Amino acid sequence: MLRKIKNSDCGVVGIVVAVLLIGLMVSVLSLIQMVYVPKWMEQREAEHMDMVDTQFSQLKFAIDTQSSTGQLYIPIATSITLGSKELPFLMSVRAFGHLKILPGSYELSITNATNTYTYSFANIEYSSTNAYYLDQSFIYEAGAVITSQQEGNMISIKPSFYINNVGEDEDISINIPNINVIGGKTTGSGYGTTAIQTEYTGSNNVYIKDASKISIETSYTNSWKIFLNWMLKRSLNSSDYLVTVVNDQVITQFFNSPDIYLTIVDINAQIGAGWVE
Amino acid sequence: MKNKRANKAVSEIISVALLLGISIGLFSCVQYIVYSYPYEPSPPSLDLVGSIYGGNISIEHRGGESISLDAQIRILIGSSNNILINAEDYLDHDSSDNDEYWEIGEIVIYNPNIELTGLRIETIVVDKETSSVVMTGLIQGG
Repeated sequence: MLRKIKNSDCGVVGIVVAVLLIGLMVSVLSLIQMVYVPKWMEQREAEHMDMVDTQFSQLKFAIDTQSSTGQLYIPIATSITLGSKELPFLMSVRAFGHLKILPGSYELSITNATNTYTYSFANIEYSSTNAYYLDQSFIYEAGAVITSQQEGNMISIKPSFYINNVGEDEDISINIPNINVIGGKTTGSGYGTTAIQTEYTGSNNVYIKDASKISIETSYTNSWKIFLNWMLKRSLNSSDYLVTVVNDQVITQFFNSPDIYLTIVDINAQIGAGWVE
Repeated sequence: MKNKRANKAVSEIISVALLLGISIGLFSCVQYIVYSYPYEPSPPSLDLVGSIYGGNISIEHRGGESISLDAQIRILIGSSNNILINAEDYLDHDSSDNDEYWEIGEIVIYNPNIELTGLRIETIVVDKETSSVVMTGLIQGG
């Protein structure tokens, strides 16, 4: 039996409405995905960078506290959040981070009439791999916290470098934490939270009379040049010193021969949970 | 054989064309309305920190996105002094790398040539490119 096929317009309106609604939804979703998701993620990653900045200031606080109290072999853990998660809806990318201790990345040389005293120090560096916000690094170097990004770098928390005026003479007190890696735990990567543990193990005092030059070898010359200029011009005449940058060295020449009191604080450090000797 | 002209399918073709036209027209309207919604760039994310040192008011870029040096800084000192300056004119040359942007580590230093002790000092920094306030704050309470 042949079934008679009838011409019918039933359903046409429904299909048109469905097509329109789907089109509208696709339009709105693509607008959110292309415009608003990058903005949300950029904001999220910027907030994460602020968080790491705060955590590095806590790391400096922990090391300064250990240095000032002198309590031996008591580890303090400071949390560092390596990355930030993606959005739970729509398409977005996670941000990752890398934390490491870099031995020998900062060198301090002090020269007087008879000798040159050279000391090498490690720094602790966090570097981000962001997908939306600009990449930043936070570095704990010689007691300073440095913020670095592609355009430049700056010291956000100043190190312990002080000038004391004694009569007509000036003394410069420098207090530098010497980070020693223990147990080979020098790196941490990913997007979760890791810890960096530090413990105080002792300190050494060095007195250098009539210094003529302080030379700092670092990857962050701009930060140290600005800091040294800022510090020295507060206490010395501009004719007493000259700060110059040559390649990766910041050289400060003194024409008033200040005495240097250098304190090197030994700090053991390792990245990750649990203390390994 | 007689060739008969039939008008049977004409109304269907016209109705399909009309429906298609209406659909495309409506969809185009929706698309136009959605995409022509005024989109303004969001304010740049950066950290500016204001402080007072040696009678100078300084504002330091402490990381984040760079902004153009034509950013305007409004400084309110006490109840009567209302000063408007351009960042470019007061950029500290020791900290600057001499390009067109106010970047990390660069400091704007303004000397108002008056005694600031005890005066309330407020600053507002406006990025002209995005027409947005990127910093507003009380540097010193009166």
